[in-house]
Amino acid sequence: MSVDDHLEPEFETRLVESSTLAFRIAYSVLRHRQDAEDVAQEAFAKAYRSFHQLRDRDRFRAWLARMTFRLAIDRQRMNRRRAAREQVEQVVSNPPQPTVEQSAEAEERSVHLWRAIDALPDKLRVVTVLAAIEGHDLAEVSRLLALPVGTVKWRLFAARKELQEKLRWLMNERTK
Amino acid sequence: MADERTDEMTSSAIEREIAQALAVDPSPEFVARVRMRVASEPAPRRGWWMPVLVGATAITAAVTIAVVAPWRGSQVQLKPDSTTSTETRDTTLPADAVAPGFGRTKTSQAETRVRLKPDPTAVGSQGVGSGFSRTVTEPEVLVPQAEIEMYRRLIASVNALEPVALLEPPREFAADLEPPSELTIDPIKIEPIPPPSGEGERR
Repeated sequence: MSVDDHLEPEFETRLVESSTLAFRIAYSVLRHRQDAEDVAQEAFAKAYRSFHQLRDRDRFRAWLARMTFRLAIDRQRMNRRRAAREQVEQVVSNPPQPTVEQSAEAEERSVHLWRAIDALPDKLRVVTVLAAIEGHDLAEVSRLLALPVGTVKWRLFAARKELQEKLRWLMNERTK
Repeated sequence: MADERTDEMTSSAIEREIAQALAVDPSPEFVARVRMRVASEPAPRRGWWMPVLVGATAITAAVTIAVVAPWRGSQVQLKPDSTTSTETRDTTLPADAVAPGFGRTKTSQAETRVRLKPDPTAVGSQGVGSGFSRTVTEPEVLVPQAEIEMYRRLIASVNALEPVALLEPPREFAADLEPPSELTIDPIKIEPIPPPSGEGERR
């Protein structure tokens, strides 16, 4: 049994542990289930090729989170360019697919929120998304991004402030 | 104050909204599809750079050996003279004319092999005529007899501290040397290029 044979079961373990994380990160950017799964699948394929360097659990999750986010951003840009070439009207911000229970007002609020999130710089955007996915476990977010906890806190604060300003403007506009 | 409360509500509302929106799971087939995709990938290689490193090391070692071996082979083999001199042709010099630490062994009449080995009694640092600490198993140096004669005379003169016409070549050499003849240079003849003769000619 060669050394490489030990990598297969380890990768399987990582796959089961991190599949939801990769999917949700991709979904936060693309807000389309099929696209998000395609991007997450591509990220796992890339992780598999470099797995001998990513056998540590924390390292694997951090690498996967960054790679998935980057691939999702690239996919989003590609989709927008294609839409622009095809001259198809596309909603700039695709909100998550609403459930039946959500009202029209909630749907509108959701559209504005995701539009504001898309407008954030990538560094603030990924922190916001990961904080939401990890239940605001800042220690886990800092491990995923390989950043100090203080930096994560600061970026989260900056992202919230920016989102609040955008949404406050929208709420004021609605109340007028 | 009211603004701060509004901000807190907005912030918590934002966080709640994002968390709810991202609380989605991949489809049940997602993991299976990833497995299928990974199965088509080549197996992850551990230390892909290892074969490159090993190859580079082997090439470096081979190049080093190829460079060092001829260099070591170019050194003269030296060993001490443990025997008295044997018969030699045209021996006119006494035995002490030979420099300490050197010896000779005659192998043929046409030429004589000079085999030198380190003389433990000789004092010296480096260079010819001083003690050596290693024996090089290289082919012996073959020296023509006439050249040996010249060296003998040179050493004898150094030992005797007498000026010697060292630059005088042996008679054999002098006899072999012919005066250079005058160089003759044929005059350059430049012939005119004939003009093209007609239409039928091809270039």
